[in-house]
Amino acid sequence: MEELVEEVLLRFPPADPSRLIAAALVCRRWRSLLAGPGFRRRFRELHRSPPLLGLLCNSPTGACLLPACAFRPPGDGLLRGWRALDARHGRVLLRWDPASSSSGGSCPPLVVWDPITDRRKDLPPLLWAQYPYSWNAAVLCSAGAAGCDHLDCCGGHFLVVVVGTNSKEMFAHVYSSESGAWSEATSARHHNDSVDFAPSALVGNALYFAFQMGATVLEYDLGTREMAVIRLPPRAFDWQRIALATTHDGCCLGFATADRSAIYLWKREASSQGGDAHWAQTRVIELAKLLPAGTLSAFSDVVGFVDSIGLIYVRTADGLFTVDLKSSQVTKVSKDTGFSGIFPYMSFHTPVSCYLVASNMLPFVSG
Amino acid sequence: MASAGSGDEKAAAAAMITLISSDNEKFEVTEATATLSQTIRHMIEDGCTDGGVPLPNVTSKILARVIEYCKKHATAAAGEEGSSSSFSDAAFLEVDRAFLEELEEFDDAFLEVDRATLFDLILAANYLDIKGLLNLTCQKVADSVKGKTPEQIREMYNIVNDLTPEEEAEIRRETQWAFE
Repeated sequence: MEELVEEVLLRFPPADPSRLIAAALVCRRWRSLLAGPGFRRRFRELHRSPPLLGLLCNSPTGACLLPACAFRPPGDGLLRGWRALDARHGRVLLRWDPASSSSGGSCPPLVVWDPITDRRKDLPPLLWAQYPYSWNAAVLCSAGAAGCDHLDCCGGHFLVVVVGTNSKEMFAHVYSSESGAWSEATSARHHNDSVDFAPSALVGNALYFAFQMGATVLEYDLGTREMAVIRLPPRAFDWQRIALATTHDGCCLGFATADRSAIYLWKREASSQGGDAHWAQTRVIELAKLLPAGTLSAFSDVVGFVDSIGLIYVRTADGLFTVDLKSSQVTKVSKDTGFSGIFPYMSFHTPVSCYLVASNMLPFVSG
Repeated sequence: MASAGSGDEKAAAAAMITLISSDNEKFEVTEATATLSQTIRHMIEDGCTDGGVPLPNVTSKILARVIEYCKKHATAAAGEEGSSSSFSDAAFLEVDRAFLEELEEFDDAFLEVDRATLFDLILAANYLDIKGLLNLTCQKVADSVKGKTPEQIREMYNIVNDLTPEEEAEIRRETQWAFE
């Protein structure tokens, strides 16, 4: 039976990491088994899809992690003065943004944070060539889709991509933790819109960022470092907020948007004839059917879409809600509506030994 | 079976294999049932099943249960092949769904055993390399400790705590949230 303890422990649910911690406290053998690299790897390979551990939200005082399970980052969960910009591949990208800050000619300080180990990596300053009208940024594992399954790459090298617009052009900078430096800017013809501080989407080797007017998306190709503007399907009205997502199969760009009566899901499909990709509406979710009368009296907008776990985040006057795409169940996540930007934080959490913590990262000291 | 269809394969599926338990009881099963076990599948491929397959690690009581599981799931696998490839209309989907529900009910009832039997089933599933059964039984044990403290888990499974207080404190300190 002894050799089958691992078979049982592998089947503990990733979405409830406290159960593996309890198991690590049973005896020495279980503890060393759980903290070993073999179990760590097999647990991730068996479950494949990292669970939602929390939701990063930007409140007026700072970034905070709303729990989605027992997991809590160290401290009180509030990173005072910081704002979340992105969360991907187990890493969180934050910018320093206290009320009094004035960053002048450079991008506000950026850090990449691993909430599980509570380690941070400070990025070197990024000097703006010209002060931007708008900008946004994304973090991702530095190995492309082909080189990594992203199940356990938190301690490895990463990229941070900053895109933006200024009076002359659209621009992009890439930071690589491997070289420890920012790349020279690449640029493209100016597009008459500003990038939104909203979650980006990674599809294959391209990152997508929403523009504020909701009619177009910025595409940044990580391979060629070229930027392009992708048109969204025509909408009922301008300034309609969209939430970008990678479709659950990881192959296509998708987005969710809503008006007062329904949530609409779209997907960008490659053309079978090898021509341009086109948009297809994949689902319409009638709000009236979904919500008990009066629950979402003042529906406002879609603020997040995570197709990989089948959740849409909507904000109303009553609070922040999730809509489960499979069950159509609506759950209240928070009564607070003062958040700007929410970023699902998804990662595996297995009991960890100190020696596994990346040595090139420092502990996070917030505040 | 990877592909039902040709006459030879159908004949093979109907071929019978004799399994012999540790207490020397003989069980006649179809090859389709037996080959849910990768261990037995390899024996058949190597042509070493004449005169029966001795399974010295599995008692007749447990082997009977394992065969019960394999029979049900072999039928399910055959049923899936028949319906999914060429028919996709609502009637067939309905049949599929009903069948899956029935299978789930079977699995639930199958797991209604005492802890010792459950462990014996895990050992047999591991030895015979039956993925579905190993998954089912291990999941049952994993689910059984839901909401249990380390102390309760030790009691359930007669495990002696050999962690030093310092080692325990270290884990608790690093993951304080798990105990709140």
